[in-house]
This record gives sequence, C-alpha cells and structure tokens, in this order.
Amino acid sequence: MPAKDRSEGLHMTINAQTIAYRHGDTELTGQFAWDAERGDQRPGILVVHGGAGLYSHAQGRANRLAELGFVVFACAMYGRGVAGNRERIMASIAELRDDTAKLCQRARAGIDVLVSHLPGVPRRSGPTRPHDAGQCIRPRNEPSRR
Amino acid sequence: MTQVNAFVQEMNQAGADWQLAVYGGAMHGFTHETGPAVPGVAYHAVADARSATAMQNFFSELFG
Repeated sequence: MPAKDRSEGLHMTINAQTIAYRHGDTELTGQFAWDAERGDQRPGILVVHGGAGLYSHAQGRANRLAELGFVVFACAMYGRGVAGNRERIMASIAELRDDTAKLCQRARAGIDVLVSHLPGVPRRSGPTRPHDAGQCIRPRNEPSRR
Repeated sequence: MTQVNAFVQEMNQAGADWQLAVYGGAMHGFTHETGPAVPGVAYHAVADARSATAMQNFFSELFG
C-alpha cells in the first residue's frame, strides 16, 4: 500500500503519497504531491527525474510545485532495483535513449497515473524535467516517435 | 553544440512549439544542491533560480 507523508508549511499542508504502477512488465514507483487544503480543480504536472533516478531531488521539486498549487506526480523512468546502482542506471539510460518510443511510453504511463489517479485533475497537464537541459522527453507533441 | 543544433533542427522540422534555455557557467546537475562530487557536475544557485522562474513562467503561459 502507498505510504503517506505530510509536511506542513506556514499556510498549507503538502501531502506526499507513493504510487506503484506498471509500464508493460516494468514495475515503477512514483510519488504524488499536492496541497491537501485545496479542494479546487488544479493543473497536473508530471515531474521526470534526472539520470540518477527518482530520489529526494525530484521528490523535493514535486513538493515545491505542489506548494505553487499544482497536483504533481513524480514518475519513475527506471524499474525496481535500478536507482542507486550505476551499472543498472547506465543500462537503463542506454535502453531508453536507443528506444525513444519506449521513453515516451514510459513517461506517458506516468501521465496516465497522474490523470487517472485523482479524479479532479484536468487532462491539460504540463511536463517538466527538474534536472537540467539535456535529453528531452518531448511529451507535449511527441513528434519524435520513430 | 553539434547535438544542440541537431535538436533545434529536429524540432523545427517537426513543427514543434519549442524553446531552448542556456545558462552560462552552469554545468550538469545545476539544480542539485547536494549533488555528487563528480567532475562536470555542480550546483549553480543563479541558474537554479533562473530556471525555476522560467519554469513558472512557462506554466503561467500554459495554464493561465
């Protein structure tokens, strides 16, 4: 079952909840973050982690975006047992770099979780990569399906 | 810059709505306050702040 964590700021309560989901045979674990004190409909944001995988950095960025009023899902691009293992990370990067369709589909799996998990999240959601400039997920238009 | 130029060309050919932000002096992982001690990877506070502002402006454009 998902774990739930609550961090309280001066004017808001940001909830964080881990979500297990799948992309094909790959088991993934992401994290939702949202302002629990807002009940209105808000845009959804998908946070895609950097090369090291989903850890405290992307989760922290998700919390910051939640503080701005978005419903945020920090998705996982790597399967179980990859983050923290350099060899597996490099293999996963190579796999996704060489198969951009799979790269987009894996990000799309995160968007599907974002859209479907909370009924109030509108479909018009924007992507972000909190890491830096670099290899691009291209989720808005996805012109690079090969 | 060869890869950057190729990316720009690819986006233009695809007719994508795109933009490119370049932060001078910033290296890989510039938003990681506690990044690994690896050559070529470093936190850059100015670029971190500027990129966060650019992201919020982008969201304002998207969501109003």
